[in-house]
Amino acid sequence: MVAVRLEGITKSFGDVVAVRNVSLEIPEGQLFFILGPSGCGKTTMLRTVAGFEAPDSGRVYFDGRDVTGTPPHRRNTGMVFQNYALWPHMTVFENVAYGLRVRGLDRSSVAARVAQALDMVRMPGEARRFPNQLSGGQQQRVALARALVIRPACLLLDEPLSNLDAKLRLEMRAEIRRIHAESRVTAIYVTHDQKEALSMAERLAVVSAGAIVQVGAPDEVYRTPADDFVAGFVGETNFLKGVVRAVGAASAAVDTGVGVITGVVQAERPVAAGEPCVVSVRPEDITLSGKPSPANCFRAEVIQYTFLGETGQYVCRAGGTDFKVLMVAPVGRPQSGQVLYLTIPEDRALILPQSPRPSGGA
Amino acid sequence: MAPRGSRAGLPTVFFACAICIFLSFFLLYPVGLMLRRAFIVNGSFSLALFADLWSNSLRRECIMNSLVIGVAVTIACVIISTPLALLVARCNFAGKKWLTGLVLVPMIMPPFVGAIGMRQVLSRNGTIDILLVKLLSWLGIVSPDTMGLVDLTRGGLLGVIILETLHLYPIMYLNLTAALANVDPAMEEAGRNLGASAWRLLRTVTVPLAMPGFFAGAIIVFIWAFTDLGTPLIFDFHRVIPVSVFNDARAINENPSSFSLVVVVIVICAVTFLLSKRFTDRRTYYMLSKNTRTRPAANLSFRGTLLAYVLFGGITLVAVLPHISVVLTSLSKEWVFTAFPTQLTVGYYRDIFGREETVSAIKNSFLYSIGSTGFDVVLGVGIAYVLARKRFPGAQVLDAVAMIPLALPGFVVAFGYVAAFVGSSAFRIIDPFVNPTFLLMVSYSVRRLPFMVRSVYAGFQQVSPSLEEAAANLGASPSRTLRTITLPLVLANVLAGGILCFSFAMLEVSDSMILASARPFYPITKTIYDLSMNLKGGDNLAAAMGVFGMGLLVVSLLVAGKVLGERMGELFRT
Repeated sequence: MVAVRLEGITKSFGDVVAVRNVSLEIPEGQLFFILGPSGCGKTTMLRTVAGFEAPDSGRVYFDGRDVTGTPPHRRNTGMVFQNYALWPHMTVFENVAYGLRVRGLDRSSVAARVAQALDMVRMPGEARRFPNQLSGGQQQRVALARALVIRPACLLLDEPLSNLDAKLRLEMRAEIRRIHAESRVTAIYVTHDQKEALSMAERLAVVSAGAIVQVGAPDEVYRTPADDFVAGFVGETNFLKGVVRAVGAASAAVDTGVGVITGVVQAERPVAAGEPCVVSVRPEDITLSGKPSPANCFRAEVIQYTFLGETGQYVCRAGGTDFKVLMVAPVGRPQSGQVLYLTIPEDRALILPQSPRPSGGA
Repeated sequence: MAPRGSRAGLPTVFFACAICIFLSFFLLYPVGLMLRRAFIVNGSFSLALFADLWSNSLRRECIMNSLVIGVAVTIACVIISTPLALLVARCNFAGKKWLTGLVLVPMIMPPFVGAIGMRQVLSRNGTIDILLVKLLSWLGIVSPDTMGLVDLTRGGLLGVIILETLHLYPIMYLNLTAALANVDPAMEEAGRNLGASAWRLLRTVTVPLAMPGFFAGAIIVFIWAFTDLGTPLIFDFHRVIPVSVFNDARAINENPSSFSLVVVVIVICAVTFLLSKRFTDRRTYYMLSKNTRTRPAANLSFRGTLLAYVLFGGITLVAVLPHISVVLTSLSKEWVFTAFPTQLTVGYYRDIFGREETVSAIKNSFLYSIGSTGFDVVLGVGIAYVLARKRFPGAQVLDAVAMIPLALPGFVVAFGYVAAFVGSSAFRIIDPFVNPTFLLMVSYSVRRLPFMVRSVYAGFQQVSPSLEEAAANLGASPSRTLRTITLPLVLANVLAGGILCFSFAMLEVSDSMILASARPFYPITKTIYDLSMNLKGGDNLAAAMGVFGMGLLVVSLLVAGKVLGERMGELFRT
């Protein structure tokens, strides 16, 4: 197990810059996520760690040892491929045993380690079957076992759950976390699924257009996104464009289409009066009630209500802007056209500088 | 080909029955008859004919020679095409597309035509021999007037192997390239990731995964070389099975041991075919999910590119030696006991269009080819449609029967026709020794039917049934849907298949040799053989005829390639 460090990695394919000056530090034993929309270069980063892509510039370190020039087969990483890449001409046993045989282990230790690995992924007794006789979830488990059995310095997972159906995906999320907790292997997990990243990661990096936008713990990234891209890509949010009217200590007042909104400003991302900015408010942070409240409160009309079981989602219009609001589902059904008071708690209205990047999917 | 689609209606059943009757009569019946004649002696089952075969040392030698040719050609093709295929599948270099097209050039001439020219090059007192004598005498090792030092044809055997190899390696190459390209790059990266060295990766992952393509190519090459009749005939090498059977065909009823020989061929071909089929099927892995990445090909350095050019260029140069020698032969007035022709002439090309026998041969070939292509289009489209779109009992049988000709050598089919239809009063109207026109058309078409079925079936598979359902939904009757939607969409495939059938028929050898009985019915190929047997200027005229045929083939293949594009290679795989 190693700590992985990327230092100033840049990689282009022809004219396309896939990875742009990326630096990352992943401590030993951490389950680290690289999250970003498709085509943002996250897989290229992973393949650089595995050694399949040589960076144009920058270095890769395992425990401080420079491995940039080390070929893939000498890096001792275990990779789980998006399509699993199980060899169809080998049984489950042979697939899992491959890396051990390459390492010259004797027969009995190979058998013991394979059995142990298959136990770990809860696939005992399937060793003699061929990959095409397995379901998608089982193939996934075998691919994990094959990568883990060599006790890799670092486990690399490239969108491992993207080929599974929704229910299986939830199950495998828990499985991968359990397996990681048992093995405590350094793991880098690439995904475009923000729910996957938020629910599984110990730390994560949000990537856009080949560059890292923010690194942090899931709740940190969710609560204090670096910019409107992160706010929009990680979780759902309401964006209000505006101009900063006045700046206070860790707070600011912003002129928006709805009215003046007071919100928090993060110390590392200051704004100045007169600058354009974006206010981000999570749907679950907004409150709706029949009575007005003193601050950040606007009259709003219910446009649409969607019952989601334990919660209910409103679309409310205030000052010509539509807000998504998520609340514990009320008893009875709110009527369209009903007028309510919409309140944005000041500590939950995040004032962000406008990023040059397109904002993430809402 | 799994049956799918709607249940068959009455017209389909009727049509399927007609196809079955045709195939039974012109494929199963002759083969069955030969089996019966081989095993039933004087009304009871007996292996006597096989015992005769075994005790006859000449026959034994024929079998051995044919096997040697088949195996040697297959091995030689693998040796030649593997580096080429690896290079193409794994590397990028300037001019790759152009260079890889060059590999296919040797296919434009049947090897037996090439043999006419190569006799001049390889035999005792041929080009190489004479040049060798000159070199050795210049070095003072032999005296300058030494005559005939080496015979590179080795009495024909080696000549046949060389010619067949140079003709067939492109087929091996096509299959290997496709097989390597189909290996999901992630499969190799996974091995690399787990620590496998390049060599270990090749051995444990790449080669096993490419095996199906390898076998697919090897089986075609083996059966082709094992059963080729034309090339040994030109080398006057009679101790191989096809020539032996050819010589017996005239007096079929006098020597029943030919039947046992033919059965041996059928068994060897069928066993090879089934073994490879079994092996490929078991190992044909539908990749578990689609490839997620395209293969990153390594860009070759300048030296690497140079090496690639030398490799491709060198092999192609050797492979077109037969073509060059044929063209030279056709243009030379005199080419005896000299390394190169001494006097050139275009007179033989004039002769082709001036002499009655050559003009009639060209006319005959066109007639037979057009007729057989017609049969192929009707049968091929029908079978492919039924297999791709209808569900009915026996679909798999129909599929299997239509594919039989892949494993059935031409001379076997032709010999079966002679056995079945010659001299019997019931079939007098199609007796090939009376008038072979009809049976030649049928035999050409039956032989190429699998190609046609493949080509069109692939077309049907690319046309989503929902396109047809959309027409039906808007009120079009099934026949209208077929006419206005399906057929126009598969027309390219029909056309391409048809052109291939036509061009193969123009230069088909085995059936023509055995079935075309009298000179007025000779097609181009048999005329070439007939002319090459003449002493004075026969070779040259035959070579000119061969060049003419080659021109026809090139034009048809170019047209087919234009129509079919990249998919043309698929037709040469099993």
